[in-house]
Amino acid sequence: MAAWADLVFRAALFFYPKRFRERFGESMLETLAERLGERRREGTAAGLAFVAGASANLVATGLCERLDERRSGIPSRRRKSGMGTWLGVSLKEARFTLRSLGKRPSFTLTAVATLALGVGANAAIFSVVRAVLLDPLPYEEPGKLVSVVSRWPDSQSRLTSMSHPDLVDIEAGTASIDVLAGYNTTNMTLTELGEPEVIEIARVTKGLLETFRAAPLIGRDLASFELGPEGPHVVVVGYGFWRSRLGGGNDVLGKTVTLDGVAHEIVGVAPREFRFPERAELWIPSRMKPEDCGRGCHSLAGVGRLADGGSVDSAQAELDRLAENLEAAYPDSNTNKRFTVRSLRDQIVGEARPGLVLLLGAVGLLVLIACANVSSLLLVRASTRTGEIAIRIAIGASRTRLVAQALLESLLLAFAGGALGLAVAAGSLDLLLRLAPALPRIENVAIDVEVLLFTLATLLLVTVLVGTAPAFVLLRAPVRSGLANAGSPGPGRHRFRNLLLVFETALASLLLVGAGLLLKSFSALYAVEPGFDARNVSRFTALLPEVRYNSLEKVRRFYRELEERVRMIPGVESAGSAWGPPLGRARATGKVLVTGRPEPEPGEEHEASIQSIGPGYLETMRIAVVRGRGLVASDDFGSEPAALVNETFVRENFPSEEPLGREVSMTIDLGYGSPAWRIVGVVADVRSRGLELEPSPEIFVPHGLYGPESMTVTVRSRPGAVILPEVRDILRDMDPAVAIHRIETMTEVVEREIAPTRFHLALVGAFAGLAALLAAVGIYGVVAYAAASRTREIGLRLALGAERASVSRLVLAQGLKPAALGLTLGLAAAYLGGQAIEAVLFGVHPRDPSVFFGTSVLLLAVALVATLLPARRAGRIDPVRAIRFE
Amino acid sequence: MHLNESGPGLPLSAVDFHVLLVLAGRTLHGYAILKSVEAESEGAVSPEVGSLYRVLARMMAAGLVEESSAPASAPRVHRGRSRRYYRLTREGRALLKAEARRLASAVAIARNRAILPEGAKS
Repeated sequence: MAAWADLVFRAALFFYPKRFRERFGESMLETLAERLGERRREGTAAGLAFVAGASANLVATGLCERLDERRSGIPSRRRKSGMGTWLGVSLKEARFTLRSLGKRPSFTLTAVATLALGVGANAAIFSVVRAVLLDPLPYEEPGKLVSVVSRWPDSQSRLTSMSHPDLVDIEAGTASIDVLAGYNTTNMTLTELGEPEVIEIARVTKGLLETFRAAPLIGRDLASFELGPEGPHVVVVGYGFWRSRLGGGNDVLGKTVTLDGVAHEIVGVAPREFRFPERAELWIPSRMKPEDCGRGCHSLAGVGRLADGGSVDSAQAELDRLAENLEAAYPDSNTNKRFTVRSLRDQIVGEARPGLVLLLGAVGLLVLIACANVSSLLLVRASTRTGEIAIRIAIGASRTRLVAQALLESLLLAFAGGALGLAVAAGSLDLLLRLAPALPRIENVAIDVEVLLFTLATLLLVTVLVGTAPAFVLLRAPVRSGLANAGSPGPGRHRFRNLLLVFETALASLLLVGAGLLLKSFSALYAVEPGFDARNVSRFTALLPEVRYNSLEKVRRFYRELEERVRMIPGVESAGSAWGPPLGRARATGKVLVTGRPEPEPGEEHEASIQSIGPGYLETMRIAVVRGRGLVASDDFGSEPAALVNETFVRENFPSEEPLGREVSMTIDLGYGSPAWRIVGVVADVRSRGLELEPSPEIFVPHGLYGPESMTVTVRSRPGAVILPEVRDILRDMDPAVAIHRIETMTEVVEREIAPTRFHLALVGAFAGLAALLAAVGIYGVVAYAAASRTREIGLRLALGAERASVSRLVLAQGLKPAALGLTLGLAAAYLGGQAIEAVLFGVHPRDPSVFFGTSVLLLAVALVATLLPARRAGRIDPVRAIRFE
Repeated sequence: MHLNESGPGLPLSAVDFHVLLVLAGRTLHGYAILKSVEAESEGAVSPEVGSLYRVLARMMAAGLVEESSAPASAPRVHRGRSRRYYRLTREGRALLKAEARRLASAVAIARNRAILPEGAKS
């Protein structure tokens, strides 16, 4: 049984009397474990639901068993003093409180449901935050693992990779960094293990298991002598790969895995928790020597381990000095280049942090609102009990005892709400994860011991928050006046409840502002013109084994035939292929050299990314050619190198000159040389790097002249046309060893970009909606109760000639005033705290006036609706009956 | 037949009846009881673990069920935890018989009134 489930059950068993527990406890745990195992096979959600249900049942039956024992006179615990007495008294009090809660089912249900919503949402969000942000990486001394990236402080470039020589210098030249490995990921075609399949491989300059101090499950890590161009073809396989494709046997060492047609000998199996880089399934030695690609060639990411006594700060200081030295020694490649070191965890989860922190904050506000609401309900209860309490105090009940009872009541409500809330959380976790964008480490999300402990802490806080106000009122309850007019509340309670209302509306308006800002971001993202037409376009990437497709001619012939045959599929309107298409993972950026201009000084260069495209690609994506011509089939092998550039490229490189006819070359080579390109056309900007990022300079060159062997084929088809099976047939016919991957529609690709904003909006929106609802209920409760308790006064006013409208106005003001005050405070807080949400916004300022205005209108409307009913009721009071009342 | 005050009387609740029924002629551990009750009641009776043990405790107190050593075929220790086995006492058997008889006569009446076809299972 999962350790945490065992712990939950053991805790729940404590509700049973000791004798019972000693006799049956172990057997019960055994039975529970079997049962859980059975449920888990139906899925995680079923398992969680079982744990929640079974523990609730244990608590309930345990309490029943205790009550039965007492009734039948079996002593469950000897009462002596101290804790025992206290527990004894508390049990009695608890029964009393439980009974009194049971007598008011609608009150109890409202309170428990309110708290359950807050606590449940809180637990669910925390479970995500814990797994993604808080859990340490599952490696030895995870705090010492760091990532190192290159950075150009004065450039917009987001290039973050390292060059191999820099990596070597950093490892040798810093005392704070003990080891530093370089790696990059690539796709290779796996054959001879079923259908050919594309899988993700990491090429490493150093064994990563050793860097992470992770012991191999079987065999060993890659060794240093296996690195470099002459090294043997060896591979370390990941746990998942070993289990699913190699059968998980112990005899895998020495067997081979065929990657891109080359047999690699298995030397080790990584342990189960080792997942780095995230999607890599296999690790092979890099075949590159440091000097092969040079200092200007940033093709590796750096990951390493700090030395004992080293810290991120000390490493950063050393890197800054080293970067200056390297700049002096190698100005061509290292001018303005700096290095940034940060903890590996930051690198992995950094992007997810602002959104998750926002959600945690939002759900925290929701919990506070729920607390304010329940506290307000309890205050009403406390005030209806003034008479009873006055009598109890008068006949000698101690006030501390009364306060303890009030706190006990909120404790019971909190825990009932908590138990229900955890069930809500467990039930909604699946939905939450389905909604969630691709977050790192999301597979670890679960309702586990830490989430339970967090929830427990939340519940204690809730108890205090909910119970303090009523307890305070009880402490100050005036005995004499309480006896004199039992039942009618004093002014103090009103003040308290009004304060709670102000607090509640302030928090609700904060959440509404957040939701409004996200809504605007969402619509802004949707309104972004990506520069291409995503509708009815799908794409897939084919990977040709390098060994057999070793010339541009062969690669070219393959893709031209593939495109031609795809165009013949019924329903296909056009097709074209590209390397480095928008919103994809492949991207190569280099420096631009304009023929006829002096070479720019180091640090003054412009950069552009290069896309290699086949005929028909621009038409398929509907990327507009704004000047000159597009690329045609004759821009191919043997013809003069022609290229297209985008508008941003023109703005950067030819701000006041005619770009058409000019010649440019790029300092980047995808493997087939890089000629000087004649610019023959200008295309419209495309948001290639992300919908929220401004277009960057791009150059498009013909695939026939310049291209890698892994192209993404883009297909525009009529709606509803099914093309994938046909594509697979064509490929099987052309070359059964070629696998395709990243099969997606462009709409999916665009949706993926919007997914994080959608996720934040969905959750914050839901929280804000709940908050508004709770605020409405709170306002209604306070106003209706206040109006009802003033029935007599209102009757008198009416009898003395007051107009009904003015009475209604009086009641209206009672609800609207605190709401307006709360709104003002909430908006002020939102105005001041706007930067907390800025990181997840797009195209909207955190102080957007329309959002603030909309929030005000919405919240006041809610307050008005909640107040209208009691106000109208007050206006219709019959003065005669009202005065006769009591 | 001697019954403790707190023990169940006729008619038995569905859970009580099915627990006694699955133990008739067999010695079972807690999980097996749970599974058999579910199977024999065709899923209609499916007590939670906590409820089941409360029923067992009550029946043991009433002398209807007793703990037993493990049957020869089954290990006493399972996954490191000790397993307890339960079986019917003579009193338990008598009570079960009385309830079964009561139910049988109720079924006979149902047949007479053409609620159930003759000889049908359900």
